[in-house]
Amino acid sequence: MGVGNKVIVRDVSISVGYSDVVFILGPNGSGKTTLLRGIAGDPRVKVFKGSIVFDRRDITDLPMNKRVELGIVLSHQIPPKIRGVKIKSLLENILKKVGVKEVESRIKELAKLFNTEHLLDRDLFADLSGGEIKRVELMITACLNPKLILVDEPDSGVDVESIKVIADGINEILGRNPGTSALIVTHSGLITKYVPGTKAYVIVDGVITMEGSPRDIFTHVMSKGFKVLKHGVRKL
Amino acid sequence: MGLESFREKIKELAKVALNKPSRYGSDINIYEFIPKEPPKINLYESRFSKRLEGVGIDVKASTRSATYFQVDSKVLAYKSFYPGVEILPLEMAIDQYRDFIRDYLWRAVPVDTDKYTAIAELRGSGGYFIRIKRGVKVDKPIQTCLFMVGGGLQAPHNIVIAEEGSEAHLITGCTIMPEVVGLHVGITEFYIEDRARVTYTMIHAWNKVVHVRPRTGIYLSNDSEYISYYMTLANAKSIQTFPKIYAKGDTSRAYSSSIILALGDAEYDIGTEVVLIGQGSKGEVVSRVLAKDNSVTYARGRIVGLGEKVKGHVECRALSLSSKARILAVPELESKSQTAELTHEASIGKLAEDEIIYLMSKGFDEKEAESIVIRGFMDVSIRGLLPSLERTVKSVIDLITRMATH
Repeated sequence: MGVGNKVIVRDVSISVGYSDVVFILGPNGSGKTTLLRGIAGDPRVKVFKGSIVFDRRDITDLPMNKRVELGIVLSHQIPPKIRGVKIKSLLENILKKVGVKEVESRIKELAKLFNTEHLLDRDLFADLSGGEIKRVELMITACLNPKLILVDEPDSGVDVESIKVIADGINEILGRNPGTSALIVTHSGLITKYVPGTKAYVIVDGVITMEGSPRDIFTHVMSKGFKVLKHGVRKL
Repeated sequence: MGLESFREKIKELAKVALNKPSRYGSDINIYEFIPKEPPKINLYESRFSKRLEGVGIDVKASTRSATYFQVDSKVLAYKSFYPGVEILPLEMAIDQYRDFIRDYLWRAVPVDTDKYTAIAELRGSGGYFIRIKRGVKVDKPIQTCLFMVGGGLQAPHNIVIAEEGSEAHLITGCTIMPEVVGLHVGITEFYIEDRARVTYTMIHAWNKVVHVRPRTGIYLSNDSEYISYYMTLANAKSIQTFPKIYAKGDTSRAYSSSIILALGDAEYDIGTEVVLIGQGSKGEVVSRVLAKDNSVTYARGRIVGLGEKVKGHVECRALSLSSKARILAVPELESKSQTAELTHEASIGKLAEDEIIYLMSKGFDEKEAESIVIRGFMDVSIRGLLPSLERTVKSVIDLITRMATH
């Protein structure tokens, strides 16, 4: 996988089962975001080789919005500011699109849950704090009733209190529909403390170098850093 | 000087200006266009009524406090349904108000501004006179409609007087039948007296062979307010307009917003000038441009600060949706007052890829995503309008967005 002609993610084989919460830890520039975007179908990311399979269906060439229809939803690390687009109106648009009838009450419920009631009339991601951006982004993600959420760095650039709210949001999305899974990318690994995971991988230079339980991987990374093994997958 | 000699003098000034080109916009040979008597039409016929509804006109006028229809050079109908609102063809008002009318004729727009004001005086016909009487607050819009069916020159002269403490909301729809060749020169003068408030919503939908040269001037007295929204939907061959607002009164306020969709080979030069004269007067000029195809658009905003403690802001934002469209954002500030605070911002850009992809990641296809971003870009703050007019402005902006993404 890569951008333009540049290969960024080169040797990755990961699986996420029903109800799984899988973490990918890795240093900056290791290809974490490219991997998530590639799975989500971001048209900027090309898959040079290999395939992406969801619910036994090969979705490698499926457009991004069609993947959303299947239930794969990316929650961005730094979503763009879109001036003039109010958060509430985007939520209304999405909820109508997914066939929700009680749009107003659903928005109220989500806003309460993600503590974003005071932000609904703001322009999308404009003039929001780091924590507010993450909460709004997760709220929008939750609207889509995802089966697999791809969460990019939920714990970067936010204070500790916000991490708790963000983790609650992720847990809420996961708990809402049985079988919902998550693939969460994290640099610091902090989120693993708040969201119970089933598996974790380490990615370095576009290559998966470690696989194991989130606790073992996190402990290992905290004590020894990322560059412990460059060739072959080490199972912890 | 009597009214006749005053009008004679006006005509002399106009004659001298007949060959004076406009400072902005492409030069039009005004002699190619002559005023025409309109063909006999029934405005309720769907091909006409649909066109009029498209520019915000309620043909039955049941939701309006007053109405005025002009087709080509002929005044078709005018009526006020509200005791405090007077509406008349200007010629009739000149006869009726001989004693004071000259205080309002060609004062906010000088007759010798350019060849278009000159031709309007010398060959134009029709136009409305609207007076909102002292203290009257009108809770339904006053509508005026300038419709071109036979083509040629349509050059009405309009005067609006909002007397002390009054409040009114005008909506003007200007449109033309397809393939009709014409030149539209609407002269509109506003006189907004102390503590009066006027909102002016203009919706234009032209055809690609018409030239449009409106000339508008606004006088604001103490603590008065003028708010305008100008929206252009379907393409004209060319539009050039640069209304001038004189905020003469202390603490008077002006807000002007132009929402422009430029398509095809259109040449648009659209903006507003506010001259802040009165102490503490405020002005804001906003424009949003969506440019497609081979269009050329000048988006101007000019604020001149002359008075004490005046404040002004110009905001020109444009989005280019084609590699061939040309956009020039021209914000201008001029100050002759040490206490004036004048600011501006201007931007020209294209649709941001990361915004489109973000929305696609939330389930929208590319066209839907573009439409959401463009609608957001076009979002201007809507202030002070009646709810019905606010809905009209929003629905026109929605329509512009759909047309831009088509």
